[in-house]
Amino acid sequence: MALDSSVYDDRPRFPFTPPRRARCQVAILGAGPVGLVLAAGLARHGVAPVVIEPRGEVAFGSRAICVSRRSLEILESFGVAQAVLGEGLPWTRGHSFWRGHRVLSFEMPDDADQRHPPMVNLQQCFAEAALIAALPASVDLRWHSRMVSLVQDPDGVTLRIATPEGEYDLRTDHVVACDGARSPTRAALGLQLEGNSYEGRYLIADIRLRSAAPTERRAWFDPPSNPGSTLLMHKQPRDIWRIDYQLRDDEDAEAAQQEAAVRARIDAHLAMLGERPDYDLVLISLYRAHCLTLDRYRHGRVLLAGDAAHLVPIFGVRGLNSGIDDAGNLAWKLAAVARGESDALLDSYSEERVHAARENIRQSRKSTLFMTPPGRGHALLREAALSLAVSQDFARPLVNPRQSTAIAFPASRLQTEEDGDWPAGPPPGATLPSVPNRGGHITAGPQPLVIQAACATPIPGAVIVTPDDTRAVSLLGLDTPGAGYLVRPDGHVAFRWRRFDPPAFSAAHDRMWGRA
Amino acid sequence: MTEAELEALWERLAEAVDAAGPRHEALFLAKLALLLGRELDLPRVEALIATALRDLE
Repeated sequence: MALDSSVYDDRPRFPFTPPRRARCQVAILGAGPVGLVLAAGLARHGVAPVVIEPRGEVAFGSRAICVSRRSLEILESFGVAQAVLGEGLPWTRGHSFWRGHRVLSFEMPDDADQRHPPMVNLQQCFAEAALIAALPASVDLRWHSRMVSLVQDPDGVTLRIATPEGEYDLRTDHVVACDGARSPTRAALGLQLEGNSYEGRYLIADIRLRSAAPTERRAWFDPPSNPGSTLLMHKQPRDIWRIDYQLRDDEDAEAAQQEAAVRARIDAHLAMLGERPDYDLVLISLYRAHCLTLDRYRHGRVLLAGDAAHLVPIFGVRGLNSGIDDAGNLAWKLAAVARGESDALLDSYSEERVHAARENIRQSRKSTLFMTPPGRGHALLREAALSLAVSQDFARPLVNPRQSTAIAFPASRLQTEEDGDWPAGPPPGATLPSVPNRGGHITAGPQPLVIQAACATPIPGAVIVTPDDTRAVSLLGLDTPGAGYLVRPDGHVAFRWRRFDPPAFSAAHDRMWGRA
Repeated sequence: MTEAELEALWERLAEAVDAAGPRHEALFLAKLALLLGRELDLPRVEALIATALRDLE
């Protein structure tokens, strides 16, 4: 296919370098975005991971392009948010159209309190390159290196690594598999993802197009340009636009991916938008939605994260973002276990993130039913919702794309039930919102965070909120002297109290570290 | 609803299906079902769906 993908040709390539050490505390399998973010997080928490990657370069092409606010918070706490914010395009707004009508315009929550945009678009290959450049020297990235066997014993894991200069053994306390949807680690452990796959197919095309259109998510259902189809359009840096469209059930996959066939559909669409059909086709790929997860992400000393652990549909951008959330959840726990804390922390990683995956699947299943109706019933009721949404407000939530949002844990072995009634603020298990305070923000990580309303004997090291800090008081409900929050390094609230009780605080603190 | 009102409803629905036309009758009825269903609670809608699914042949 004569595609011009030169925009992605200048990605960095990395040589093989002989390993410096045969032992490490944590080995990460896979240098995709999840593995790289986890490596940054571990380094931030004082652990020097070894990263094993078969490729000698970053991923090819745009792949996952939307990074959520929650992901940006995690990247920030690991010191690498600039890798995405630097070149990424922030956006807050989207529109959906049905035939000739605009049926929905949505704004993602964004106000003066926020320190990050709700969403940033950046091609995965550029994000990976920027993350690699931002990693501290303590991260030992080993390119052209492939795990060929994994053997666990009570004291550790031995990985056999194949390289261009032969094989060697790497001994490690823990392994984290971030090796993607076709995870070799998952296969080596004999594990299988469970859940549903959907029949509907989307073609994904990147085009280079000069367009004055703003960075927004636009979706067209049954548009005049492509009757019967659904199209999505996202702007990316370097004048690249992502166009996704649904293939008809009777369409042949091979034929649909031919350049002429793709151009015909994109030409018609650009004509409808009043854009000149003057563009280069950069990439074409095919996509099917999957809602799949393992039921446990910890198997002894081996943990799984990202696509290796769960696959969610692209609609709602939960794939990469849930993987970054996995890394945010795991980094501080692995670092604590390396320091000698209880490995119950690793069980909590599995419990919490399996819960999150099921919640992501629940949400993205709804998006998928709308984006690829699996039968006549869903197709007809989708059309009914779209038609009603032209004039009826009540129908618009049915049309909303349900973009990824932070997920709270209703229960976790690490959190403690709150006392009393709270007027506002995140309960235990939820994530700390963006709280502006004294010209900056109160931010979680990399250490645990204690926030407390001013009182006579504050907790040493606590961020003190006074009645003059009106925004923090109202966002967190800190209207009582001594009331406060204990926030985990990953931003989830471990405990909050209306009345400060030192033994209760101490017990909650121990529980957060998996000691109780 | 009185018998006379029921007859009026029956006739009005018939006219509306005709007004929608054969290309749009299913879409029209689906929209109407969503609008009517919103006026009721879910258990009631469930019961009415079950009734309407009976004796389709």
